[in-house]
Order: sequence, then structure tokens, then C-alpha cells
Amino acid sequence: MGKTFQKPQCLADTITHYCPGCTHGIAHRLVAEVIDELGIRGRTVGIAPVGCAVLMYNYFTFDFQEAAHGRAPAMATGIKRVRPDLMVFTYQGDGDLASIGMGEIVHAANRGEKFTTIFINNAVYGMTGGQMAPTTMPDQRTTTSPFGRKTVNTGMPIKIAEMLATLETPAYITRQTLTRPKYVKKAKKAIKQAFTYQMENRCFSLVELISTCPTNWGMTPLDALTWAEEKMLPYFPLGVFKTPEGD
Amino acid sequence: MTYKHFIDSDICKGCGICVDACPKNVLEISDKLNNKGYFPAFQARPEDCIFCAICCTMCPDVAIAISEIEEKKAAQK
Amino acid sequence: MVMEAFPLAEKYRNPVMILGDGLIGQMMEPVEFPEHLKTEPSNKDDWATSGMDTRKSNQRNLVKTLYLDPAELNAHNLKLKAKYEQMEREEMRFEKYNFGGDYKALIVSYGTMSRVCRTAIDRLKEDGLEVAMLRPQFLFPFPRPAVFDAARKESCQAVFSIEMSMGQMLEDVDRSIAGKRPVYWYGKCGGEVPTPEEVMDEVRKIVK
Repeated sequence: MGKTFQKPQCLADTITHYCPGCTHGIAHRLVAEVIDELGIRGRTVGIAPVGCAVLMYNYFTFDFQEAAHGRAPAMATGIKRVRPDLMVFTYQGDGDLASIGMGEIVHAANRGEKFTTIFINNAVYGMTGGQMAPTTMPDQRTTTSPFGRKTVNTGMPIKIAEMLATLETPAYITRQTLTRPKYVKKAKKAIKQAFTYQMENRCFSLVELISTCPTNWGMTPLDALTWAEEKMLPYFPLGVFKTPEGD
Repeated sequence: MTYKHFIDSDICKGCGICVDACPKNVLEISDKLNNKGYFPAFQARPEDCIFCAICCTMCPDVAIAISEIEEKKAAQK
Repeated sequence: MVMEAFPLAEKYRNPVMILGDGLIGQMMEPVEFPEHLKTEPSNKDDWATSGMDTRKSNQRNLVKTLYLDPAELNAHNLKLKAKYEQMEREEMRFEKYNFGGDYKALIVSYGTMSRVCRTAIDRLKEDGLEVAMLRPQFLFPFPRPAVFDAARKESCQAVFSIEMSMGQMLEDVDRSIAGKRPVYWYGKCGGEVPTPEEVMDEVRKIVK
């Protein structure tokens, strides 16, 4: 019984700037572990978004580029088309991907660009101070919706995974979460699958990860995990929404 | 073989997720501050630890490591 | 010029913007492509995110513009400034027209408008009025020293910035001349193209 656990090689020794209990750290580690396991560290290029994860390049030990807000898929398209042998992934939050970068991600997915996107959905703009995001839950309080999100004039949260899955272009689209150990393990499997599809040059892949933002939600890290499970998961169901043909 | 459970108390931000996740209730939050001003987690009941690595899986700051301390055997997984 | 843009972008690691106007956009002209116009930046292993395996290096490369430390950002801005200054030294591109004689006026004009001005200058020459033209080919770095020198010629009485815009280049011309000569603007917008006659009239109004 028992097993060893060490920090993956892809992660630097830097202490992250994330708040205590922020699931960005878990997502970072999963990506690093997957890249280690696939042995692709030497040919991976990551693309940092704008948001809390803008400094993520400090925590990884492979090539990184920083994109303008929401434009990571455009940058990834460029890199992947010039150098199809490189493994390219973008790591974007919901403020970045679902709001300003909506056009980029939809067209990149529709063109079937063969890179991987890790989409962190924590229902809020983290870095800028907890403003309402397109994925904010109905009645959720944020700094720009102090009385709770009113769906009458702001609509319902956007389900990115389901929306992209409606595209006819083959893709691997899945939604996972990081709220419990069993989900974390599944999330890692999904990320590995996404990178594997890219390695096989099969299709675009997107892994949405339901995450927490204890600071901006105004909760303790544990309450935030519970809130994500109780409030977000019923609306954002987990699962695989699309796989390329033959799988 | 024996394992060593190690929490880097200067990386830990004391979020408490590991304390909640631990199936054997081994971990607790310390009442001593670390370098960054957080109260880090520590092994309050190390004898109960089964080295399942669930705390490692959930730690957002990769502050927990488990390593072998005995000399390696050939058929080691 | 469009083909030059790519080597320039590589040389300076800087975006190059190609400006055109509506006429160029809707026009066709035969062009010849040179055989080989590929340039590789020489020190790309120092910065390109080509994968550590490609570079056979353990050092990762990072392309970023976010410098949170003020001193670091200041240093970065100084580096960019040095780059822009190098461009000003090495990449000033312009064309002179009818600089031979003792011209009475100088026209600064670019793009389609400069062709119209050329006709106007030729016709004015027939009438005995010498007008020179300086056509900036790059708007950045703007050929300030050249405009300055050309305007300061003894015989030159006035400078005209003739554009198909409301005077977007006027400030650049004005700044280049630094008050040494009066600067006038003439132009039209919205797809209307000033005719040679209009340009000639405009020049004649000022320069006798």
C-alpha cells in the first residue's frame, strides 16, 4: 500500500502567486504531469492567457508565449501551423475564453486547429477583482453584480463545452472538475486524452475544468469546493461532449 | 518499504483542502506561521498515514511530496 | 514594398504595417516576384519558442511583454527605444522627384496622391514653375531630416502636405520643418481624388 508523489519536472520550484485554495494550482500540476508522462516537454509550447494565469509561464519549465486577452487560440493556430511537430496548448480562463476570446475559440475549434485548450471555468473574473463573467451563475454575487446576476438582462451562463460540441468539425470536447480527488483523477485522464489526440494530429481538443475562486466568491477554500459542486455542477454537467470519429 | 510524507511548510498556503481530503484524518492546520504568513498544514497523526497521496492530488501548491526512504528494491513499482 | 515587409519584421522582431488606400485596394497591376526572398533571423534560438528539443537546449524560451517590476519594464522600454532609433538610422525610405532645379515649393505626398502630384509638377514645370516632391515610402520612421533639408533650400517658399485624408501627415511634415517654412495642407476624403489641376491651383495660390 502507498505510493510516491513528487513534483513533476515540468513545474518550476517557484511558489505560485495564486490565493490559498485556488484550483489553478491543481490544473497546472495536471498539465505538467501529463506533459511529463507523455515525454513531450522538449517540444511543448504553452500559451498564457490574460487573467490570473497570465504569470503561469513562471511556473512551468518549457517554452511559453503570452497572448493578448482572449487571443491565445489565434496565437496557437499560428504556432501549430508553422510548426506542426510542436505540442501547443492554451490555458485560458472564462473571462479570457468565454468573453473577449469567444470569436477566437469558436473559429479555432471550427477550423479544427490541432492544439489543446485547457479552459478554467470559475464563474468569475479573478485577476481583475471578481467581476461578472459570461459563465457567472444566476444570482451569483460579483463586484459588478452586487445583487446577484440577473438573467433578465444578462442572460444565462454560457456553456462553452456544449456550444463547441455542436460544431460539425471533429474535436474532443469535455468538461471535468477539480473539486474532489476522484474528479481530479478524471480531469487528468481527460487532459492526457486531449494531448494524445494532438500528438496523433487528430483534432482540436478542449478540456473545461470547473474551478473555484475562493477569494472572489468570498468563501473559504472548502466552502468554495462545495459551492462549485452544489451550484455549478448541476448547470455545467461533467462529461465528454464530443470525440473525433472512430472513438 | 517505507515512505516519507513531507509537507513543505513554506510552500503551503494553509488552504486546508488536504485536511479535508485526507481519508485518515492525519492532517491539521498548524498554529505556527510560515515564512509567507500562512498557517501551514502538518501531519498531526503521522502514524495513521497510509500514503494514499490523496492530499498530494488535491494540494493546489504541490507542497506535499511522498518519497521512499528505504533502499530501492529491484521490482519496485 | 509588401515583400520587404517580411524581412524587416524578422530583422527587428517588430510588426510591419502595410498601408494602402481604396484605389490600391481595388486596382490590379502586374507584379514580378523575385526568386528568393526568405530571411531567417540570425539569433532566433535566443528567443523563438521552437521547443527545447529543436534547439537542443535545456533553456526554455519565453515570449512575453508583461514586466511587473518597474525597473525591469523601464529597461525593456529603453531596449525598445533603442530599436526604434536603429530603425530611424537604417530604415528611412523616401523618393525625391524634380529636385534638380531651384524649386519654389515642396510637396510632401504619399501613395496614389503622389502620382497625381507628379503630373501636377510636370505641368507646372511646363508653365515655368519648379516644384519638388518628396514621397515618404515609410511613414515610420518618417524622413524628417530629408523633409527638413529639402524645405530649407533657399528658393523654397512653402511646403504642401497633399493627401487623401484630412491631414494625417500634416503634423509630421510640420514637425520636420520646425517652423522654417510655412506648411499648407490640401486634400480630399471619402474616395475623392484631387485632380492635378486642383493641386496646381493650390500651389499657385501661395507661390507666385
